[in-house]
Amino acid sequence: MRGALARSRLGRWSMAVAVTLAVTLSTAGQALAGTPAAAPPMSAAVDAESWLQRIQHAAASMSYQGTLAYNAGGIYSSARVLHYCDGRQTYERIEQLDGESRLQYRHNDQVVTLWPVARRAVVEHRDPVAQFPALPAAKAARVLEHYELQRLGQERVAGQEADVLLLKPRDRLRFAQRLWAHRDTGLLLRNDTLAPGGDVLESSAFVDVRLGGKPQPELILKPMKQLDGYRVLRPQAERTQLEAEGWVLGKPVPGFQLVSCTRRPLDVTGSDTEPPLQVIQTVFSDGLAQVSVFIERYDAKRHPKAMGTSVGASHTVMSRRGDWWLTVVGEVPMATVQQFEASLERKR
Amino acid sequence: MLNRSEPSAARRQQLSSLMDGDLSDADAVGACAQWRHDAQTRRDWHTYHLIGDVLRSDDLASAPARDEAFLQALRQRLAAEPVPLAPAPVPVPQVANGAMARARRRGRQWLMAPVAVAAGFVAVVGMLVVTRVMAPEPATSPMLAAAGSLPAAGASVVLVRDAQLDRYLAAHRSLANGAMPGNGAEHRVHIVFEGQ
Repeated sequence: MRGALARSRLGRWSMAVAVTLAVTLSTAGQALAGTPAAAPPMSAAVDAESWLQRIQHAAASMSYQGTLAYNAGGIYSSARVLHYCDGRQTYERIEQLDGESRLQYRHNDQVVTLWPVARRAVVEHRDPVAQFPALPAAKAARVLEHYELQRLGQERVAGQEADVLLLKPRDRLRFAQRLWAHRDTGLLLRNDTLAPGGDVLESSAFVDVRLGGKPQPELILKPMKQLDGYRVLRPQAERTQLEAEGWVLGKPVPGFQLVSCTRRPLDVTGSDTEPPLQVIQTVFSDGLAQVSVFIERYDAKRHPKAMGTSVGASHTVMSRRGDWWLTVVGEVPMATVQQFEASLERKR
Repeated sequence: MLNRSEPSAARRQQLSSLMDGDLSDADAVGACAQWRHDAQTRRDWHTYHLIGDVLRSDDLASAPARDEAFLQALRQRLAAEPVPLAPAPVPVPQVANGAMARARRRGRQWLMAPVAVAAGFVAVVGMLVVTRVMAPEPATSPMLAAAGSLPAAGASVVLVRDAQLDRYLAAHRSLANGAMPGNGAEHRVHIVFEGQ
């Protein structure tokens, strides 16, 4: 009896292996960040670089309109977006649907933000930012130095068929991102930032989207000029360099390169009685994730004690360094912002 | 006592009986000792349980690599956990040093936190404060802003305690990532990890 049992167990061994294999293979497609095992082998046809380039190209060259939904740390908000690409010109209108009414118009690097109820307008020149559905304009090869691209499968998002991709970090200094790219064009339809365990920290997605359409630039250009009755603010940002300001990042954080360093008012608005607070903002990027380092004069009244905070994927560290107050913010793990904070050195 | 020289069939038979709870006390002791000393026996033991698991439910079937992956992921997650910054130890009273010097040293000790985190020492100390900043009714904030009596801080005019954090976050997003999820929301929750 026992012998038979043992034999039957051994006999089922191979079956168990087969079942296990099958289970492993079927779940492999859903492999998340932080689970090194069970990753599907990249098919030779999937060229990571061309995937990223396709996504970047789609965001830079397509016209689209729809509704965007954001979720960070359980807070939801949404916006209506109208985006036209007309050769080299880009026109965009983003209407915030939650909270205080706010409209943002953009024509290439010119940005006008309106708060219609408060009758306040901010007019700025801004470098094009990597706002969803765009990815940062970094070279795809550079992104792939720090992230590995896996194809997870196909899904339907916002009524469109999409390829699901995972950008898995090669070290612990950054978060994974899961991307849904429109099957036909490559336009991002959804982008999740994932904690190492696979939990979604932050998500940007189209709820509905219409692709293509004839550009109508006047829908953006006209309201950009109609600022009658608005209090118009034109914050000035001035390029500078970390070294010129007397600072140096003693030990570079692996993978992160300097993108820009500007002296600018912290708030776009400020008030009539108080001049806007000036800070030096240095932005670093690993091609996908961004970190900002703010440096300003220490002020006992305004600056709380050193602390770290998090909201969604954004982690912040604030601390005092002699006469200075440092704030490091980024969509990276707490350890990474801490590393930035710890390696900032005052040179004079 | 069982040992490697015995035919493996008999050894496995013992193991199988042990699983079923059919072994005499003495034999059970022997089988357990065998389990302790022999890696092959441990592998068989695991395999038998795996077989049992698979037969009971597919959900219980997992490649050994998955356990390893789970452990790895757990370690990674622990390491990446936004650990509360370790509070500085109570400073040893030193008469010679002024308050400034102590403050500076405190700051330095605080800076050790990332090193500790990187090394994987996850000490859950410090205070975890979840601050929920509630703005007044939506109707009031435009009103206040229109009156021009308040410094307008982006979309959230009336955030008080955590307006500071929001300002940096908004400035960061405007130069780096563009849209800030939750921008314009009536309240934003910052999870604050404070040093002591």
